[in-house]
Amino acid sequence: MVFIAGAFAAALINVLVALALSFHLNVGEYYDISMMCGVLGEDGSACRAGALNAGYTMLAGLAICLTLGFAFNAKAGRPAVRAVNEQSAFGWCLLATVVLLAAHVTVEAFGTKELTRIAEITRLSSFISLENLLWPLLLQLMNSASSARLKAMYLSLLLPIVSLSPYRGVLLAVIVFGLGLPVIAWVAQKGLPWRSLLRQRQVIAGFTLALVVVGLLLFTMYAETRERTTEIAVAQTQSESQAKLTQRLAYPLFQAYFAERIAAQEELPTAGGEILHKFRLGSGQNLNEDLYSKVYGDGTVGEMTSLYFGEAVVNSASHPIVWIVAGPLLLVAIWLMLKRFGYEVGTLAGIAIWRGSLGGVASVMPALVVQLVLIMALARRTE
Amino acid sequence: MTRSGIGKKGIAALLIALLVFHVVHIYTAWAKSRIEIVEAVYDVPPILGVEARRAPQSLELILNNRLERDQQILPGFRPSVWQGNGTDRIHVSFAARMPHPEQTLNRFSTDLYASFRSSLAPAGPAVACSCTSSASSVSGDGAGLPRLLSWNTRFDPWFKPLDILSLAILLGALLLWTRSGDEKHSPDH
Repeated sequence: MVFIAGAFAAALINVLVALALSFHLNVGEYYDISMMCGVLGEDGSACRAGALNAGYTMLAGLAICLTLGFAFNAKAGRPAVRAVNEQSAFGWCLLATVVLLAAHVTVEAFGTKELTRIAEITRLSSFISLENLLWPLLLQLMNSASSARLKAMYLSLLLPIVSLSPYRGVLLAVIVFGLGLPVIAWVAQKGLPWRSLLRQRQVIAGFTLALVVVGLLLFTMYAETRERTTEIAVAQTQSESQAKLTQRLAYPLFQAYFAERIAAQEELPTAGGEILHKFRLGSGQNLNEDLYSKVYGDGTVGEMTSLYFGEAVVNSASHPIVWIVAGPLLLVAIWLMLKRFGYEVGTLAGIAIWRGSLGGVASVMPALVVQLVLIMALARRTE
Repeated sequence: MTRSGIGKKGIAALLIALLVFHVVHIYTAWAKSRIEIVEAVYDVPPILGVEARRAPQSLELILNNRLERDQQILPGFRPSVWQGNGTDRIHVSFAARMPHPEQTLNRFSTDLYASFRSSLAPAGPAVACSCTSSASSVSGDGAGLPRLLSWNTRFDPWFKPLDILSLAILLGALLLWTRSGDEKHSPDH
C-alpha cells in the first residue's frame, strides 16, 4: 500500500504545487501558457480561473480515490506471496536490457547524430518506448528482491536505461519509487530504531550511497532543466531555470483546462483510440498529441499533460471528478486483485497511477498490462 | 541461474557486455561534446510562418542548401530547423564546421525570404497581414525579411553525472557477481 499511497501523494503534490504556482501566475510572462490561452481566445485571468478549477477537481478526485483505496485495502487481507523466481527473473531482465541497450547505443553511436532533444526522441522513439516498458518492471523486481545484493544488481540494470532516457520523469520515478518509497516501506515495517541502526556500518554506508545517488539524480534533473529551450519572459525576481520549472509545473493545469474547452467544441481522440494507438493498432494522434498540435501547429512533435481531468472531459459526459476517481481506482482494483492472488505488483501499479495522473489512464494501461503479464510469468508459488 | 538457462558465466558475460555498451554510450556523448553546435532563432512575419508550417520539408531543404554552399555540413550530424511556438519563430541548429557561422545564419535569413516570397507573390498587395510584431520589417505585400533574433554556440556537456554513476554501479555489480562466485568456491565454504 506504501507504493500506491506514495503514487497518490506524488500526484497530489504535483497538483498542489501547480495550484500554488498558478494562483498568482502572470500568464503573460510565460510564452507557452499565454499562447495556449490565446488559442482559446481568453485573457490570462479567465484562463487561470479555468486552470485552477481543473486543479481543485483533480485534488478532490485524487483524495477520494486514495481514501477508497485505503478502505478496500483494509478489507483485502494479506495472502501468501508468490515470490518472483529470482534466479530466472534477473537472467531474463539482464538479457533484455543488454539487447535493448546494445541496439540503442549502436544506433546512437554509428547513426547520424541529432542536435536537438526532440529530433533525438523522434529518431529513437522505438527504443525509448521499449525502455519505458522495461524500467518500471526493473523497479518492481528491485523492490521485490529478497536481498540487498540482488537489489544492487537490478539497480545496475536500471541506471543505464535511465541515463539513456530523455525524460526527467524517469529520473524522478527512480528516486521516488526506487529509493524514497522503499525506505519508507522498510521503516514502516521495522520501526525507527535509530540508535541501533546508526551502529551498523552497512546502514550508514547504505544511507550515504543513497544520498549520493539521490543528489546526483537531482543535479542531473536540474542540469537538464537548464538546457531545455523555451521562450519565457523572465521576470526580474527569478532566474531562467526557475521560470522554466515554474512553467513546467503549472502548465498541466492550463492544459487540462484547454482540453475541457476544446472538448466542448469538437471531437477529440478517445481513450479507446489511445489504447489501440499504444498497441500500434490505430493510426492518428492520441489525445495529448492532438491537443499539442492545436496549440503549436500541425506537424509539431510533442504531447500535453492534460492529467486525468483532460481525459475525463473527453471521455465522459459526467462531471470530471467521476472519471478522476474511477480511472486510478481501476488501477488500484487491478493491484488489489493481483495481490489477492499473491502477486507483488505495488511498484508497477503505483508508477501507473502516478504516470496516469499526468497523461490519463489510457496512456499507461497497455504498458501496465504487458508488465503485469511478465511479472505473473516470472512468479512462482512459495513453499 | 541455471533455471533461466544463462548460467553464472553467462550472467558475468552479459554484465560485461552491458558495461561495454555503456562505455560506448559515454564515449559517444564525449565525442558529441567536442562539436560546436550553433543555435539561432529567427523572427518571421506570420504569413511566412504559416506558409512554412504548410511545407516543413522546404525549410530543411533551404537550410541544407545554405549549409552545403557555405561548407557548414559536418558529416554524421543532422542540422535541424523547426518552427517554434506560434507562427513567428523559426529555430535552427547545426554543427559548425567553418568559422563565422553568423554569416551563414544571415544568408539563411535571405534564403528564407527569397524562397517563400515566390509562393506569396500571387497574393499581391491585397494579402491581409495580421502581423503584431513591430520588430518585423513589413514590405508592401505583408511578408517581410526574416530577422535573426538571437544566436549562440554551445557544446554538450562532456559527461553526465548519471552516466558516471551508472558506470560505477555496473562495475560494482560485476564485482559483486564475481565475488559471489568466488565465495562459493572458496575453501571456507
